[in-house]
Amino acid sequence: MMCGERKMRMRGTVAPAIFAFATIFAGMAGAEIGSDRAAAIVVFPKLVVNRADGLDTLIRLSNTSDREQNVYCFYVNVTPICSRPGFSCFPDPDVCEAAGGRCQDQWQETDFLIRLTARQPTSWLVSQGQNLCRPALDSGTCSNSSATCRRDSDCPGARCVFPPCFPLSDESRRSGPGGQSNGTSAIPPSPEEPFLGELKCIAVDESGAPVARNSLQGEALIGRVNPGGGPLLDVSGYNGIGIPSVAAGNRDNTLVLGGQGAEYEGCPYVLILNHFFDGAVDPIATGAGEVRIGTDITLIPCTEDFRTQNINNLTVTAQMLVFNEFEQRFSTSRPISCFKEVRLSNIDTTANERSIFSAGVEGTLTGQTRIRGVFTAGSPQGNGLLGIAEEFRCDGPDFPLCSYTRTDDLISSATTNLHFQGIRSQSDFFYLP
Amino acid sequence: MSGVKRFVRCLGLLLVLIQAGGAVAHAETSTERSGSVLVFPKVIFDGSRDTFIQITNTSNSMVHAHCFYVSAVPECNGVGSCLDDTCVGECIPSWVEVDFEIWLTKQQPTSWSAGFGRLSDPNDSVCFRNFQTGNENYDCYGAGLDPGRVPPVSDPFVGELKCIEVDPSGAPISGNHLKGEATIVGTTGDASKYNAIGVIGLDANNGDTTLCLGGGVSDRCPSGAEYNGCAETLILDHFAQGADSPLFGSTSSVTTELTLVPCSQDFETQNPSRVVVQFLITNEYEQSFSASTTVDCWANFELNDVNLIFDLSRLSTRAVQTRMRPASGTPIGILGVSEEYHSLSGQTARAAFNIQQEGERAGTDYIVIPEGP
Repeated sequence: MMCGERKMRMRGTVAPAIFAFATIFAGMAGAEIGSDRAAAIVVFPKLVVNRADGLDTLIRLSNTSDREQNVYCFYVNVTPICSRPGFSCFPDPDVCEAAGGRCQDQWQETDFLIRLTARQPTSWLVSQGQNLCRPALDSGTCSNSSATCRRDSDCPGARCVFPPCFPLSDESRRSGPGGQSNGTSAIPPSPEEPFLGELKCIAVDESGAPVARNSLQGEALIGRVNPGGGPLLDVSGYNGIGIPSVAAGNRDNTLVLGGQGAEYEGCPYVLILNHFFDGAVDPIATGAGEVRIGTDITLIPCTEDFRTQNINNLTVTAQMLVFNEFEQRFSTSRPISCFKEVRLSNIDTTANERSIFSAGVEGTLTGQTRIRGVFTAGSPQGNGLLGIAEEFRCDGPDFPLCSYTRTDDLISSATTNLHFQGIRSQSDFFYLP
Repeated sequence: MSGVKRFVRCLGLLLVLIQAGGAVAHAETSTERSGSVLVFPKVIFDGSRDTFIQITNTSNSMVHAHCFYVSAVPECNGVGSCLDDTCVGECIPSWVEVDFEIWLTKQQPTSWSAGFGRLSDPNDSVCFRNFQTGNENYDCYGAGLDPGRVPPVSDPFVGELKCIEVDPSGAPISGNHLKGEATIVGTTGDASKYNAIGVIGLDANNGDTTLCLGGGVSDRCPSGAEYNGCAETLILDHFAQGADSPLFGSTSSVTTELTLVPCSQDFETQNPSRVVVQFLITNEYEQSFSASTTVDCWANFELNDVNLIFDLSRLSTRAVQTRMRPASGTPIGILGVSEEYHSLSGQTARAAFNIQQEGERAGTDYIVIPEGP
């Protein structure tokens, strides 16, 4: 009856109705990828290390299940390389260019295996990595001084603080309640320093084959301290982006995200970022004079090929729609090759004050930016994107504003996970070695 | 033949609806997807910090929202304030809600400071840079289409903000068009940021003043669940209280502050909800400990205030995983955020985190909003 005469009259409206419902419910259904629940793959899009400037990243990773879990992780090193040996492009490309060199992109993976026991949390500094604890050999630092120690009694009135290590192993002569251990776990330090890159961790079984277990969650904390002991102390954090498995899959080395034959959830159709327009004055932070805000965004393609490290097919065009508080709409686009970490107002121009992300151009304090990886016919993958944003508050009067590489005027930073809308109907892939 | 076509069209429509409904039914609350109810569990305005609220309409149509500030500032029955320990007298727990409405045009972002509120003033100065004259203004709080008049919170204020998507008549709807963020900013510029928790609306929403989160059909919820239920368990990765921050060396220390709010709230009677929260704590040795506390309407506390088991001296390891859930038999779920304080040589830096979640509660939580005119 419902599909009888009434529908006959609605013939002209059925298709629009389907479209309308699909549109409405697309937002409702959302992308199942998220940073607020455990998953089989955890992605940390932004890691930075430069201890000479007091900058480092701490990773926390946790097994939320009541069974031990092997984890296969990949550092992706995207630190730009200077064409002139002995000079650096990161954090300051001027060092290389002043020496007559040219900064070149890099995309290099380093992988490692760790084992987490039931519900075990762990954490490590990207600059240092982490190994099994060796009680007979490890030395620490007193909590009230820089004195070296081996035990608390070496630090009168204080604790002996050891660097992070895996505590359950034969070497430490200790295992978990169920006899589980972290044996064979080892995390290398960042492949180089200074370092810019990302981290992906995938749940695997004893043989290293991917398993459909949504038991990993994590966070990244980016910390800055003035190496000279000055006033800067800053920390910001974001949740690792979890990609849940949806089916047992064939457990081969090609992980299918969304689309036909999906083993993991597909990547979001649109990323949404609420942000201050660059250069806007913070209305709250009045105690330090005029505090200006700038936002950096980090974007990575959903598809990554760790097997061949072929980056030619991994360039995604990111289309961006920008709305200000007047409901005015602007747009720009930018190709994302493997990894992009950029100030919003440098997406469309090198002159920040002329950007559509500048408060002086947009007119309002805050805006919404919708980011979509463009899928083109014939593309071998879905061209999805993932990312996070980091907001900097600066004591500087004008552009260029402070950032994690320009800390002279930096007051603080705050990192946020992007919002998602929709799911890609095309597959993205992780190709494992 | 045309009958077959009609049948195929109807089937297509049905499949779209079933697929959409199915996807929705299996989701929980989300910090990354647009929802029909936005929860900002931690809003602070206390002289040293203020909270900057950002809310965006992610749809191409006009959206209305009914927002509620819930003040959890204890009342001092003598002289002074309970928040800064100057109360001469007794601190009496208090919960007071103030509500207001906002309107957002398509895809419109809006923002305000909890301490300042936002006026409906079409003459707010806009940001600009005049490339002809070189004149510029980058101080443009309030510029743009005002979402309505947003009241400032009381001074001081600790509590939460909830915004519920409604239709023009004020009846709750399941549009799932709202997303938001809160940035807690110190007057000196230090900041921490978290995403608002979005509660996804379902198509069974009957638009009455009792919002049913999760569960099934009941006398109070004749349509069944109108919104997704709250999580069964919240999972927080954190440092042991007093542990050093490896980022800042052995002489640094970290404390974690947790803010929890019940999923159920009665804004009509302002009768505070009470939840007993159980904590299951696992250290790096895979050793488990437990603790519990009671949340009356809103709670913000350092982990050590719950139990000293959270202290490094008891847990022995730096990294800790804590699972939180309402005690057995407690008919109310919980939501929350955490904020870490990293200290070194008298300085402190902050970072806020959304708490991870697991499962969906079988029972129903209720948000009761006041009746309209």
